Amino acid sequence: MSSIGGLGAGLALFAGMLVLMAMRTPIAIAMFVPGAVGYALLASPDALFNHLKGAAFARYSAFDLSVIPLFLLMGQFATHGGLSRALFGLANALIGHLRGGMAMAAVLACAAFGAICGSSVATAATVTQVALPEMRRHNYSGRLATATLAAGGTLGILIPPSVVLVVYGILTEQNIARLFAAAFIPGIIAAALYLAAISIYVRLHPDQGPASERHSKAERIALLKAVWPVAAIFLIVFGGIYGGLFTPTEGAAVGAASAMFAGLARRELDAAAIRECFLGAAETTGMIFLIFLGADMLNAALALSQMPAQLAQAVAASGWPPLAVIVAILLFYVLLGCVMDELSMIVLTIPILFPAVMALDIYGLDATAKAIWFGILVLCVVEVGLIAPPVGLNVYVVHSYARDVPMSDTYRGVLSFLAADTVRIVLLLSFPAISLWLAKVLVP
Amino acid sequence: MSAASIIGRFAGRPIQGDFELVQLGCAVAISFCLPYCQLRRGHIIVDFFTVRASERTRGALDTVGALLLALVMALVAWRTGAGALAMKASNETSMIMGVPVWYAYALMTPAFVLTAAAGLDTALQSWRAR
Repeated sequence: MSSIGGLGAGLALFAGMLVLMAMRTPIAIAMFVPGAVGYALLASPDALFNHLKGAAFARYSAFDLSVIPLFLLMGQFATHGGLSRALFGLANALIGHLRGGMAMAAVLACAAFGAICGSSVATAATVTQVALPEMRRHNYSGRLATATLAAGGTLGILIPPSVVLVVYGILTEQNIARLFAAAFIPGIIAAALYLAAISIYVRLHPDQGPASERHSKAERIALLKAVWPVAAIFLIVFGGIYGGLFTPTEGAAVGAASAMFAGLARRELDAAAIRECFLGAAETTGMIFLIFLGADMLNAALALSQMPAQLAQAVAASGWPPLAVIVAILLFYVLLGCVMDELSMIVLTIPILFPAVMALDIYGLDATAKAIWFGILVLCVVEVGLIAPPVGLNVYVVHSYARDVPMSDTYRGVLSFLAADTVRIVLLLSFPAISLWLAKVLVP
Repeated sequence: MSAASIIGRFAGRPIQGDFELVQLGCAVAISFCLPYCQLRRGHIIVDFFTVRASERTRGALDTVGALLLALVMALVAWRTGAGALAMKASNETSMIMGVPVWYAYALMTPAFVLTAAAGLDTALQSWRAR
């Protein structure tokens, strides 16, 4: 095996994975099998067996990882607790009367919901259920309505908490609180750019997002009262984390508990619904951690093949300008995002690409700043994969609630939001301070 | 369900070395989410390349996929079990509270066995449903 060199062996492992994936093998297993076979060939079967003795325990007992099931649970309670209805109701009462205002309200509801939920799919699904019927009732076009919700859903993983960001933080050994802090401003920029995209879109196609009736002040105040649990949960969790009261794991536990109490107090959750929430969180936890197991195996084999180190050397020796390398990596993520889900992508590629990125000199940033800046960029790029054709997971989710709107129509509507995403990514690339400033202030 | 609640109960307690219990408890709880996820067919697959394939082909591929999963999980279960014995023999304990680490290994092993069994079960179902 050594005769073909590290890159060759690494590519063979990747090829094995892609073939298995194309054949509907669960992604985690598609990574594990070539990883295990490669490990046995590059080292020996005994070495593989020895490695596997502690592999599962080592990964599953990583303390930072316990934050994932808890944030998932918090998102489940928030979803089943009817909080998205309150958020959309308020946003709609405030700006729904504008042209395209209801779509903008949906984006704001997604952004606010993203502040207590770490998953894009969950955010897209829950806001769609409340916002889509309203938009259709007010004669919004299916194209604008579904595209808005698919794109708005991506704010769920950008605005903290974010499961993807936790995973990135664990793989690169970065402080999770600092990563969350870095995502706030990019999240707000993302929402603002989406609002701009909608306003340009309805100016070009006024019939697709007509203005509707204005709400009275009394209505607005009543709706404002319904939204306070979301604000309270957000402030408790992040105030506690940044005030030094608790660790992210404890913050997530407190957040999950308070989201449950909010649901109970609003009489939206009963015993059966709470059971559903726990089961839903358990299922997603199982999915994520099997991916960890598979990606770890493949990465162990890749490390044996020395591919990541050789790749880092090759990149450093190539003489490409550092930013060009970053752009190439981001484009690679967009391509990969066409076939893989965001978590598998990150778990698989970060151990390979991260050393190469850290070896680059970018704006003279120190190691921590570079890791955080790159993490936010990667997060933004994998989001693109969630709404871009041919397989945008969020588009599928929204489509399942809007069977009458062809998916090709949604993809056409999504183009304006992809333009907004591109603007945001260019901004983040050019001005690292957008992500780094708040991180430095909150977690010195 | 118990899985997630165990994690939730532990995470707020200010006891010396409590994070060790969380760590060990989490490792066990998380591993018990795997078989549940497989029974619900919650593990992600890529169906982009097989959208146009017939039901029969897809059923056959899903059978193979679930069998591979069962095989991998059987391997992991076997090795984690061996890890438990090794940890017991070497008397390894956690740093502060002195909890024997092999407990966690021993409790994780049945979770992986169950996942392998769940894989066999879903393989059988996919084959029958072709």
